[in-house]
Amino acid sequence: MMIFLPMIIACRQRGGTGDRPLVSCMTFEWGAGKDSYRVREQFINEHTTSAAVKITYAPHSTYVTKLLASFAGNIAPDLMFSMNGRHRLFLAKGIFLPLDDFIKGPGGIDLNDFNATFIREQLMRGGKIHALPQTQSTLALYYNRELFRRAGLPDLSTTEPITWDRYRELAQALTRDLDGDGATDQYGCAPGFDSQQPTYYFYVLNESFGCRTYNDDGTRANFDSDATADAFRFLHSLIYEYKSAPPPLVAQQLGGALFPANRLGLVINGPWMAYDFQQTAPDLDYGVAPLPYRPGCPRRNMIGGEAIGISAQCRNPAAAWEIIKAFVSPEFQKLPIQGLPSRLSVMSQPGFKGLPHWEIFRNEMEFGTANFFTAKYDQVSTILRQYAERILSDPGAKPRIPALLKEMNAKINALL
Amino acid sequence: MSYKTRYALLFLAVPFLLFTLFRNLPIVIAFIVSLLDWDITGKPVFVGFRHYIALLGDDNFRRAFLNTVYYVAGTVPLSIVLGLLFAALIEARFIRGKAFFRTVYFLPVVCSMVAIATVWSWIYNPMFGLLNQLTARIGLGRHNWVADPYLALPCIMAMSVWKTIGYNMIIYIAGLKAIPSTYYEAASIDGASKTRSFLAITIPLLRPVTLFLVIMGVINSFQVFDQVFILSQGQLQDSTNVLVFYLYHKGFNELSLGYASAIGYYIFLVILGITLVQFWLNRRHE
Amino acid sequence: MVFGLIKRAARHIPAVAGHAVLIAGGATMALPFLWMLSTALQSRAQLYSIPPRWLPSPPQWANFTEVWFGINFFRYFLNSCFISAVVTTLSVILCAMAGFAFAKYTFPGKRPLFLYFICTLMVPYQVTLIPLFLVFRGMNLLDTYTALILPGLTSAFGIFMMRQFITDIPEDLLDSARIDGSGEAGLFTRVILPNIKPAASALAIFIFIGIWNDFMWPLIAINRDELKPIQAGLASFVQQHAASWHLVMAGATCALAPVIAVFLIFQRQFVSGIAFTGIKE
Repeated sequence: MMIFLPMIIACRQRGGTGDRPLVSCMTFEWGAGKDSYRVREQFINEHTTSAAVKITYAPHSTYVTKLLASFAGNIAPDLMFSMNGRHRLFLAKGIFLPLDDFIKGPGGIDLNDFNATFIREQLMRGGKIHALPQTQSTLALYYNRELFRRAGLPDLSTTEPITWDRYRELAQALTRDLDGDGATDQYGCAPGFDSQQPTYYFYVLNESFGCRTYNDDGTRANFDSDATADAFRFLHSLIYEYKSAPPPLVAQQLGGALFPANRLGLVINGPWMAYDFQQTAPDLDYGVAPLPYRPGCPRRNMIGGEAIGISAQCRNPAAAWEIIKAFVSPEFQKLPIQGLPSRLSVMSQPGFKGLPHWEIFRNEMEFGTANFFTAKYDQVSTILRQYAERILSDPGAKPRIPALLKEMNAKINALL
Repeated sequence: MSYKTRYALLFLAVPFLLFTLFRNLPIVIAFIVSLLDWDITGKPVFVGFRHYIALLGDDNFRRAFLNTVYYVAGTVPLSIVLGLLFAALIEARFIRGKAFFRTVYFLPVVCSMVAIATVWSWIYNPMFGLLNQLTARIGLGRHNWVADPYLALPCIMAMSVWKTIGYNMIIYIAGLKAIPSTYYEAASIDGASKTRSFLAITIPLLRPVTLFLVIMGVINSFQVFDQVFILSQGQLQDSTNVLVFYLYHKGFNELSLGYASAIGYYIFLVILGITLVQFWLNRRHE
Repeated sequence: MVFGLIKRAARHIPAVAGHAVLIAGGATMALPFLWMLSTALQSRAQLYSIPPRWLPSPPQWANFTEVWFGINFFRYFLNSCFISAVVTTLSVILCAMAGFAFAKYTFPGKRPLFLYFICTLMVPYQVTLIPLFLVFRGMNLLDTYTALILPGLTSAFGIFMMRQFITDIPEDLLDSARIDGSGEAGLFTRVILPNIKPAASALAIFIFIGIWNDFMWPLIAINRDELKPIQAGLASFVQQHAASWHLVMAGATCALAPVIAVFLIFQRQFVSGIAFTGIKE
């Protein structure tokens, strides 16, 4: 009995799409994202008459491997999602079909409704578009209003950003030892480099401290700049001097539990976190503010989002294109998903109800760059993480920061 | 070919086919891949032994090797000594509830490393974990455990010892039962104390068992992976980087298949070396 | 008289101390399991309360329902049952066949062939993962149950173990069966299999536990959620929901319960099988 049950279930799940061609699609899950994809699948199958979709998931952390391996293994699904930081990698690996003929063809769509920078910098290769944005995202500052109230702090402005120095003061004011045992129970801010905050959080901090991550032709990294050293000194002093942030390895073990448990005051994160709180912590009292800046330096943020493309191994690209169109259709884009709608017109429609605080993220887009999302993003990030561990897990590392960064930059340059 | 030979080969046909396809052939393929520069999606490029040479200068690899040696040195002796201690205690005449203790001590052995490491990562949690609650209560203070660069590997080692004591214990119990009681009777007639006869009779007679446990322990610990993967959440970290994890990272996070396979062959060489030492020790003993 | 009492009490010191050590050790062994259960039954708020709670009140049984049905552990569980059952059955038969051939027949190339099987024990499992992936890609079998079953059928340890046990079966038994007119295949089913029951059941338990606990290969070979075995399901769940420790612990409980049950039921065979590995060597 036990032996046959899975087979029966497997068979039962096959059916149900009628005569429409079934398009398989792979995406990643993050936090409560799985439920969101279930909603997406259902919505698309209800609103598309010409094709149906079946979505499979892989964890966010192993998605890149999974996707490339299944492509190499000839079991790639027809449609594949691409994520923040990895678009250029996927394009370089040649796993997506060019979409230009579909876009310009009879059943095409108007590209002017999408973020031109995102498409140009991340989704084009050899002059051709290989994927379409399904969401847009950037970063903003989440703050725990409950903890702000307890500390007697006023709400943050939704339009005027605070400086990184103010951020540090707030973090200090929010740090607490609740039971008096000498150990911190409530942290002011998160240091980055943990499981909840992929490396691009640091790239954004670094850029806003005044560093241009790469020079224009992408052949040289600038992590040996004074700005990067300042950014690391800033994090180091937050952890050891002001004791307002846990070391990254500690933050990694604590995962995303701290903020929703009212044990963390400030965290920099993307719009998907607002979605996650909506699903798993509906009572959480939090606010969102623009990303802090450094006086004298331009405000910086990132341009990102999820994109969807057709696998180069897809046997029925026409059907797959129908599903892509459904994913980027205005009707679908109105759903509250894990990012902002990729269609600009949807956000400007009166009465649009996206994720909580979506306007703040939209405003941050203006300062976005994607220059640090290269095809070698993962390898560079591994090196960055390692040196972050060496600098930020060692209380005495502060004087050695420039030397360590020089060493790190040489390693990264050797990769480019 | 005789009638019997034909049957023997018939019995071996299916296992031979399966082994060839899924064990032996992959070993050969791994070697071929180790000579290539290949990212799985592109075209492989033959680079000869370049990966093997590059690894010698790779400080992550050196770190992984040293961490692995540290891990092996920290887990194997401790889990063997504790295994012997508990085996001797449980087998002692005055102990009641032998079966119960055997079961409890053995329980972690059968459990999956993934689930066990998950449970331990919660125990080691720097803020909400059980261990900090215990150490704070008895005055040892709070620590970051797996999140502390210096404690991370010892924490993983402690968990692995906890998981393998039971195995060593069961093997030692079998070894103890195999020692004829006449040896002890003779010793006690000669007036030897319990401790003395344990040191003079039991431990020397258990020598082959101990040797087996050391070799198996070293080979298994050299391949430590699952617990590191779970406790470091799949991230390459200086503090917990071990050989097989580095192989996984290169192969499956960065998709440098050739480089990863070369790491695999270095691990294989080390294990081969250990096995040869075992043969040599065995022969010398006989 | 007093002296006698002290002397009598002193005789009990080793017993008391011995029990104390064993109980302390046993508590250390059991504590993680109890902590896992306790966490699995707490609510999210209880997890992060100050001071921390040791016992859930009231126990949140709904955590298990959520993990079991909401996060599809039920499906993962069935997959693991299916795969483990098929692999265990086939693998024991194949190992016994090979062990029989090596133990009771002489044929040219016997020793090299035996080494051919046994040498695979020395190669770390992870080394062969990439090639295994390539082999299955070549056979177009990735992302299927078959991919999870076939590699599990190659247990060099099992062949070794079966050979040792079958060697101990007296030659007379085989010869008298041959005289009774049994063919070689009949020998295997009528003489060998009934005589190696204890060893075969020990091996079956080893293989069952090994397959149930395997996690790397499914992580790589399987895409579809509905094919995932429970360890791979647990590992990806842990990565996604690191904050929901109560659910993670409920998931870990589900992943551990079957092996613990199998172990408790078949403890005797298991322990004798393990002891064999250490002593026969």
